[in-house]
Amino acid sequence: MEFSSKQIVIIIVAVAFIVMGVLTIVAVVTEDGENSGSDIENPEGPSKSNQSLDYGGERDTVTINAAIEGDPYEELDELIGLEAVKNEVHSLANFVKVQKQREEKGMKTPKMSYHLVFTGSPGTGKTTVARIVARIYKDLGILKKGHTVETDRAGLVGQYLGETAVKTNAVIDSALNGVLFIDEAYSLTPEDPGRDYGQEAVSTLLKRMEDDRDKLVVIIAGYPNEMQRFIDSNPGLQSRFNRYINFPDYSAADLVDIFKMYAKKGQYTLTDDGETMLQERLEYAVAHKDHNFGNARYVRNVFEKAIQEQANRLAGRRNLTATQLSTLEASDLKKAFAAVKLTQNVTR
Amino acid sequence: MRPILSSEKISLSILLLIIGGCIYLLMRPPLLLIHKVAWDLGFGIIVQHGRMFVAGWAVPNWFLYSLPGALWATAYILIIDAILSENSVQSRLLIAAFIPALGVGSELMQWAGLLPGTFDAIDMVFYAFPFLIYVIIEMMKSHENVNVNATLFTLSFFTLYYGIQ
Repeated sequence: MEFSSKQIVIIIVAVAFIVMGVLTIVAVVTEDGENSGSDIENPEGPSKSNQSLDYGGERDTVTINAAIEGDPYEELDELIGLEAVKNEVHSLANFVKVQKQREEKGMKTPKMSYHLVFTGSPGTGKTTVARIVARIYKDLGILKKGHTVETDRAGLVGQYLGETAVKTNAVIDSALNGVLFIDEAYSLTPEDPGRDYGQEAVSTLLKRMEDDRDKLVVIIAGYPNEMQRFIDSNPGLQSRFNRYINFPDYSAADLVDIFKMYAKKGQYTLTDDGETMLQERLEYAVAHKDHNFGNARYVRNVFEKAIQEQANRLAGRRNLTATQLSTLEASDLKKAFAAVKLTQNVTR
Repeated sequence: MRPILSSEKISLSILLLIIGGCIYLLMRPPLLLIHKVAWDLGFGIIVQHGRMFVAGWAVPNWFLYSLPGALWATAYILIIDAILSENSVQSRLLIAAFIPALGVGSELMQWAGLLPGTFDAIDMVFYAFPFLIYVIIEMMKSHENVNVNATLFTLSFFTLYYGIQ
């Protein structure tokens, strides 16, 4: 069967149009590890400056982090990996700085929106970068306090009619002059809303973003696909959130570095066998990860389990040396990896 | 009015594609493959500046979600019309129906739950509309009682005009 040149052209055009259609329909799910960065979460647990509000759920749903002292730019640069994210945050800061100078000189400046969308898998550093961004905004004079209020659906949505607006307003009040960070924000508008009050929370949030636009910055975070659906669901969200930062999954090498960072901060060392096992297991974990892979959170869990296993191994022995007390062996890691799930439970 | 040349139809088609692409790149959440491709091709900074420029614009939902599909379908029909200008009306209509039918079909599959996404009747209308106009023009052409080229040119810009409004 032979095609004429006209038929070939038509086939090419049709295929090109299909490809164009696909480009505008398919969402980018996740990036692979080539640009991976690292976690930055505090291995010593929550900061002492944290204050939690429990609304009676299974866990704290609202956490207030005071803006700690120190250079946020330096902290950002110190994060392992996350190069693309760092560049994006620096670029944002540079843009704001220049626009402020233009404004001071009476020059025209574009309408700026400081609200951000962080997309990425769990444990990729979104919360930590949000805290740094809050402090950078304070440094730039956008926010007076630069604290962060971290919450999720449970912190904003009530179970009864009218409760949601009260809850949402209370959380927003606590975030004024700082950053309101909403994790897994897409869960505010479930795909099958039914009698869900999430939409009320979104409406309240949008109103307050308008009313308090000079003293409230909102960062929403979650999986790329789900965040797209969430933002698509409301034109008000589309117009207010136009700056996106994607947090790619970590590479195995980054996860190894993160584990070593936890170990160093905790005054632990790895044996050579232990380090080899760590690399092999993390390479396996990255190769077999799924949508819910916990990234740095997974590594932190493995680390915490490993030091528990080391304690079990050493229990009952006497006259332990400092080296024994600080060394994590391959057997500790083997048990830790076996005990820690590759994925974590997340709201979907 | 002089007939529209094939090259003009193709230029208009490209213009419609660019406009549709800009709607996606500048106004839709940048989580689609088209955004990644734009960044990979080195247009990232331009897109970022463009997004900041249009950040304050208030556009209706149909502009954001349905118009690009209509522009896409219109561009395809214009190109097919240019390529097959010397072929029979039936063959032109048949091939021109492919992309609009694909759009309508995908919406119907979403409605039936066979494809992920949200069914939107307005999307379906926007996909089908350019083809219906094309059919009407071809019917009018065959009767040779109206200024077909003027009508074709006017209707090609129909959705674009309302988009700007």
